[in-house]
Amino acid sequence: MASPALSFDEVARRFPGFSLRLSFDLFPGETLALLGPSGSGKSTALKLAAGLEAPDAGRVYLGGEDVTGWPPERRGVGLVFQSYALFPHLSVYDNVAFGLVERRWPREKIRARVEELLFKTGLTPHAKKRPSELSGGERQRVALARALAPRPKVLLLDEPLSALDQRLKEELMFELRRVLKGEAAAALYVTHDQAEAFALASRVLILKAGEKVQEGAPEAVYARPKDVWTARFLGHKNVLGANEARVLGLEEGEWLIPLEAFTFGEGEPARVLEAVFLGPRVGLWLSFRGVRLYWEGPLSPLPPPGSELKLRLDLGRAVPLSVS
Amino acid sequence: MRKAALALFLGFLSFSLLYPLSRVLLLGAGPGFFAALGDTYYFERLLWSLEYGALSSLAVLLLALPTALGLRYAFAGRALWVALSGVPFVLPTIVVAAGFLALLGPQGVLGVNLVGTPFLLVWAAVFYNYGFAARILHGLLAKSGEELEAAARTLGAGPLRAFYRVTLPALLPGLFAAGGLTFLYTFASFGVPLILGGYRYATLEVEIYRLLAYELDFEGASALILWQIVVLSLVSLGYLFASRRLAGELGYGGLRPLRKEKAFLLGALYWAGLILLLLPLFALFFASLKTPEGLGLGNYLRLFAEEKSYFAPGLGPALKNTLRFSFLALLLAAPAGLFYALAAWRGSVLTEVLGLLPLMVSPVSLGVGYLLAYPRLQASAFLLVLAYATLAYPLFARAVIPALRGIGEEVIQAAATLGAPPWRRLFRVELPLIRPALFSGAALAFGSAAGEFGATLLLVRPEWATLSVAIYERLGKPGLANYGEAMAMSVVLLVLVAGVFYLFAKGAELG
Repeated sequence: MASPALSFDEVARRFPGFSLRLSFDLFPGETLALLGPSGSGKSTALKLAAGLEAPDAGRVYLGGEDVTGWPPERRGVGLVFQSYALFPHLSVYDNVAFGLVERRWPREKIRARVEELLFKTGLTPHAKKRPSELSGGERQRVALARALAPRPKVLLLDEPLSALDQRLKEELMFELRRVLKGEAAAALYVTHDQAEAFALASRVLILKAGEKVQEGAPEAVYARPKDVWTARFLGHKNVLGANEARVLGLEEGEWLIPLEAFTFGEGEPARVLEAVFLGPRVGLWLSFRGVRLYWEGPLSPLPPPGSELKLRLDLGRAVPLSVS
Repeated sequence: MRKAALALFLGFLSFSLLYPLSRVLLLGAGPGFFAALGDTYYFERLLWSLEYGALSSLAVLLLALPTALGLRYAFAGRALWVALSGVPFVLPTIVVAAGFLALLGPQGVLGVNLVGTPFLLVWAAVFYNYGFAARILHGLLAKSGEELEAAARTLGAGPLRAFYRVTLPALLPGLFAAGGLTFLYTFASFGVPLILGGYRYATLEVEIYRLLAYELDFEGASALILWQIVVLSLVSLGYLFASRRLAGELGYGGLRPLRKEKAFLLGALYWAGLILLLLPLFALFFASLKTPEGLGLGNYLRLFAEEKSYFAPGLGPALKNTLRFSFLALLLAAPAGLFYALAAWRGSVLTEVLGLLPLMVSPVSLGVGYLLAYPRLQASAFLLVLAYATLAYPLFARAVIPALRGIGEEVIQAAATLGAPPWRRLFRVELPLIRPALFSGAALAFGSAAGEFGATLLLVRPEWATLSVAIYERLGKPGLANYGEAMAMSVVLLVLVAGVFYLFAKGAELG
């Protein structure tokens, strides 16, 4: 296997009341999502990778080279800030050209590269504007183009979509996917939003209070979360405590019932507590043997609350969770 | 409501500033103007005033810029340092001048007489303006500096390149604003060059006073005022545009941590610098305790003992006058400032310019305007109070406007949807929310009135002598006793102003 584009070897950073300890490898061409709630240390990890913070222990490698003591300007990584951090005194064009000027690219090459990126991100008509004249989505695109311009081998993204509204977010998410693929940079994507992480990353790493909880392909992590906390954090609703599990006939311990375990039209009666219309799908809160369960999928017509459905649960598909 | 507030404010402004000023301008634009224009001595006054303003701005910025950069780091007592560095700005000129006399005057503590040298004048300008300049610059840095610098670093710029390409451009409006404000205050300064400058380094403002007080030359004085206003309006318009780009509130971003030894070194450097800056005040305290018989309270005892001095106004009446006039001025300045703030809060550039007018019109020229416009009111102290209020209301407004802008629009809209009409909203929502700013604005206004010197000298009569006048008269008389009394009285005025700020700060905390 090729050497990792970025790797953390037992990198540690302590603040009063918080400590981060992290190892991972990011390989060329892949997008790794650091997924965690606020305060989990994911932004700190990004700063350590960029050289904006120095670790208390451990090593940081870029392309196999130990860069632990290097200042940010020597590392040549691209960083997209959560607040974009666009230079307010420079035009969109000059913002994107900033890193190229630092690398002393010849003027013609700078122009070609900046124009290429502006075109790719749909910013060509805004080239002469100042950041203050742009909308949120446009600013986000400038920040991305600016970070990508010097063709970094590693791109770091700090919650790049968090300041945008839902529709714009989804739109830009697909655009980001396309651009990341086209630029062939390894990307480290920090977010607290599991949907964003799943959509963009080929691998996710879940962080909790400065520690790695689980790492793997999005489908695998989602299907087999390690513990109760991770299952809840990833948005699973059917996380059963020991008592509920016993009622359903599972062994001692905590369990996750995935949606694939549900079969309607046969088995025991389940009462509909609440039915929510979500557009392409519906969400149902059910009472099954006195246990509250949630199911989501295409179903029509919407069953009225209080009505009963026949439900068989395939307990063979239930996922055991370790206690966190 | 905004229209009503604007109308009331304009009424006040027309009477207190626009009409008197127009009288000065009319007179100044007459034949006297051309006579003054051809006079090389007057022309030298203009050149020196410009030079003094420019030198001072440069000195202040050269010191304030590195200071602001260092303020991004944590060191021991940093918050107190920032608070103390702002103290000189609110001190009465006469106190500052007395402090510099005590340090570097003919009888100065250091034994070196620098009175009559431009060095001392520039130092005094630095003393006044360094603190707020550093604060403006640091506010800009805290707002945007860290993250933008980080962005530049990840894009390949080293620390120096990042400073030059990102931090410095971000600081430009702050440099213009701080430099412009320093220029405005120094170009038209009166007390410091009058007492410390001597003939060679008299500013236009000093010359205008001299023309009136000693030669009763209204035409000549008006011509010089006209020059002064042209310069001041150009610079203050520049300042206005620069400060608009400061975009309202300044940030107070997180402090950068430092290793222990470095933090200690930085703290030591900052505190040593502050002590050096405040040296004139320490010298003032020392000089006030110096008597022919050695160190003691002799100067103070003499001041408190005699009800009436034969040579100069006594402490008791002067203190009473200062308190009375300042209080009356506050009663006038607070509503004027509030009306202005309400009108300018979300107003246009034009309303903002109106609020800057008193900055463009120096205290002495305001006094000249009053003497021209309201000769029949000269027999009452009303003109004195009016001058104080006119000079003080922008300070009040400047404390209040950022607070008003800090109120979320939704809060006010919520009050409106709950049925509160504009005036009710003012009393039930806006004013309670900006209470601390009202108190600090009042303190600034009271402090400025209590220390006012230029307009006072022109409008005062012996029976209205304030502390400033009493100190000035003592400084002008020979003898160690007068000198000692002047120093002691300066300390009294200093303590009074400091006490007012303390009380108003307490008032803002309570409730």
